[in-house]
Amino acid sequence: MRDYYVDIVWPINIAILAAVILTVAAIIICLILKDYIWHRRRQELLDIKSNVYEMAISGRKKCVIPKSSAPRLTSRQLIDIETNRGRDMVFFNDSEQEMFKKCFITPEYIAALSRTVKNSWSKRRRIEAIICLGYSGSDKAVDALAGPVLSRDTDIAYFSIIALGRIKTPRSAGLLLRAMKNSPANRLKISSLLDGFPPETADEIIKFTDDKDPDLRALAITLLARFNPVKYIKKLESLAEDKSPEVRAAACECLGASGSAQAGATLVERLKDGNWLVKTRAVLALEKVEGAAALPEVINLISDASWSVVDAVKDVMTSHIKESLPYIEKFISGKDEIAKKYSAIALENSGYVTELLGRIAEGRGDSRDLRLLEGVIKSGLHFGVEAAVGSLDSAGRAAAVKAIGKIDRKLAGHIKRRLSALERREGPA
Amino acid sequence: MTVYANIVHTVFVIMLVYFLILAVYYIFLALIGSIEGAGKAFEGSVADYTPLYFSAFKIPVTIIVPAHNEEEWMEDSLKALLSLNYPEFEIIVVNDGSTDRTFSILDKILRLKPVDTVQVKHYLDGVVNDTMKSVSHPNVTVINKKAGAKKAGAVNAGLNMAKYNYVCVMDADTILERDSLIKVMAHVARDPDRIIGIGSYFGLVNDFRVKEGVIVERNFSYNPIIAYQNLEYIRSFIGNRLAWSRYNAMPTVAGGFGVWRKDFLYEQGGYSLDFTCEDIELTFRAHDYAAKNRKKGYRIVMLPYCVGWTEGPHNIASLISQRARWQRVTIETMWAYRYMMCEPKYGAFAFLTMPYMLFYEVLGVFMEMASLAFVAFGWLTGVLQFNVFIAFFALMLLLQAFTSLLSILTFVQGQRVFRMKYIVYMIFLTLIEFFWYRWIISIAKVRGTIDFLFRKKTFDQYARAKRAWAETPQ
Repeated sequence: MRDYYVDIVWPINIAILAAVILTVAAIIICLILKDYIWHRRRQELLDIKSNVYEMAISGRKKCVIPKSSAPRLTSRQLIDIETNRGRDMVFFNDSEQEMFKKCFITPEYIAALSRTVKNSWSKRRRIEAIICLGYSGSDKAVDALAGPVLSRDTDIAYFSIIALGRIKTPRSAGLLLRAMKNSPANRLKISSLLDGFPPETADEIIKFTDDKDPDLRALAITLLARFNPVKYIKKLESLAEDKSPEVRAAACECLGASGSAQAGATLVERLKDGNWLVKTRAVLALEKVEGAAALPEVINLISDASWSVVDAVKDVMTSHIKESLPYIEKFISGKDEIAKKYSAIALENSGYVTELLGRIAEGRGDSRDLRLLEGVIKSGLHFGVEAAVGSLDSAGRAAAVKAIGKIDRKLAGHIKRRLSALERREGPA
Repeated sequence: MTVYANIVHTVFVIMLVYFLILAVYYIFLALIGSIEGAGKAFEGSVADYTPLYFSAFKIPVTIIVPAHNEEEWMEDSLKALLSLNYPEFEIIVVNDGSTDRTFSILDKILRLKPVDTVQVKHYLDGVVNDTMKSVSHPNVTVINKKAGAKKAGAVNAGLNMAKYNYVCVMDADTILERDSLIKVMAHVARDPDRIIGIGSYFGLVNDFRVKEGVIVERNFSYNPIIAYQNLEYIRSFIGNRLAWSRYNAMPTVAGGFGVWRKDFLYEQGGYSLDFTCEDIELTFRAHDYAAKNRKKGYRIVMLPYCVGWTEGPHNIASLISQRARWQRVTIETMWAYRYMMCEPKYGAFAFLTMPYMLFYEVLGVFMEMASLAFVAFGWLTGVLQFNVFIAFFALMLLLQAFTSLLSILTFVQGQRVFRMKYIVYMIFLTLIEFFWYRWIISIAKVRGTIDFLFRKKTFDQYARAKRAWAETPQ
């Protein structure tokens, strides 16, 4: 009876079984291929540390290293180096680095290493030579690394970057900046390396602010902000009008970092930019340059379409809450919902709501306090008020709830119930 | 007899259609998840993290770690956080009424001193006893608060202190990978105006060797209870959520690791103290809030990167306790937000996720049990033949195995987290899951449903395993 059930279900079962078998096979093949590639690469890289020791030993007279001290790289160190996770993680520790500097200093040896980098068929040998060149710290080494750092082979490029990062000269900085352009995946590493370069590197970095690649221009500007950008104000002002919004945003930030009052006019101009990122950076930068005096310039952006810009304006208001109060009063009684909301947030973030509730609870609140409280409540952000009332003592809570009740009875009742429940659970305030 | 046979026949057809629809749904999710996962994995491999390191594009993050009796993991998870590869972040540990050594461990590592702070309370958090700053790590704050306001209260206490506009909420037993935050925030940096919440995959840390917050050896546990949970995490994070994320229909950003935009939390009033578990409810509320406030274009995103490792239950009793709670909060949330079901203004969430949550997560366990019971009953009463019973049982088993395998395939394509031996072990477990593990989870789900019906609200913390193998000096 009802055999047709079986006729329906078994063919479905067979189809799913076939799919199961195929999926298992696909998983296994995928795993085998991935494992094979990974192990081969790992083995090659693991041998590098001991091989560099070997090269040092076979190198020059000044270098005396007992063979037994040549350690292998551990898997853990390799993972940290490979994945870029340890920003300071290197193949060799400080004493090893000092030792190798002596080993790889002679011109003949550098020339030999350069030849290996250029001509060797073995990728592993090339990487070892690149590492050694990095320790030499010589200008000749920079020449030898100019090609490899732009290599399409990601390992060769990566280790060349590390090596150039050791040779902290403007020229190596220039090569690293060029590598940034070629190898987006290594940009994090390069930028962290450049961070430790001497101040004169800024002269090299500024050249890249004219590059065709807008990403590179933006990176060069943001890097410049880490050095002293004051002497490049004029250049930065022209970059603030660049075609690329990322470049304009970076220029604004850099102008802010300069702290120079001269930058004010350019930043004010950027407040009218069509891009949200540029406007956001201009708002924050202007605050850095002019402090509370920036408020009249930035305040109208509270109605901007971008959350990010509005948030930046809110941050400026929060930082200068006393100076912002006239604007906040206007916004809170106005019809612009966003301005109302962010004004309320600024009041609460700055601690002003708690402060004014405290004053109201003690009977010291003036009409402005009451107007602001009413505005905060009517802006719909009563959660903040609720928590602020919760931070008062029992008498203060009662007085604050009474004051809130005059504005919104329903809310006052709600707060009272919530706080009573909390007191029942956790004891009196 | 004919009427009875027709009833059995109708029920059989309904069950069959249910399982086939579920299979088609899973295959769809797996395919979309596979595309999404491959895309994200590629983006991750060529990711440019530089902007996050520079001031113009930097997005500072506040990391909130609620901790209640976490002496086993506190030191390692904190040390992992302190060594995060991220340009600017602050850590707020909320010691939520711990009665064990959690605070003394924090004090030992951080050298804490009490500070007077003007704490602006935007979110209800309960009673905060005191606030302390670290002498050795200026970016770390510890809040000591009275227990009683659940994890949501502890997170809200952290939110009240949070400086930055993005908050990463995680569990105190989660060991983050050093590059976890930068990988996640690189995605946020691409579209900060739209991304309001983001989560990523994490696995189980049980049996790992952890030293000073660093995972020294990934000994993936062969204890089937742990291995099945690893499989479930893959199924859930990679198999389903990646696809939901593509359609902005994510039902939950996991509490173990999730990043939220603070202004969005602010507008919603932070985490709700009225629910047992905070993560799923918050995600539902975020969808609800965004739709009601016409915040079109907002995104809640899931990434496939392995961001860290967390502890999972190590035995059946603990597992049932945890899963019963998960089931209870799923139903609590579904019930509270039932009006979102198939409501056009909620978009894909209402049509893609909500029906799945209802028919699979909430009612699925009963459908499965009822199906088998019906077919078995039909066979015992002679209406259905034994081979029908076997065919139906095989269908359920194969569908279960196939959907799991699709998730594993998507996972191994994108990354190399587990060793081959372990993946093979998981494939084997997949094939036998239907014979036992499935029913353990079913028992937990039934218990969770009963707890919901009896309005249970407690947060049952399952019994933790003692870390005899831990290398961290205690």
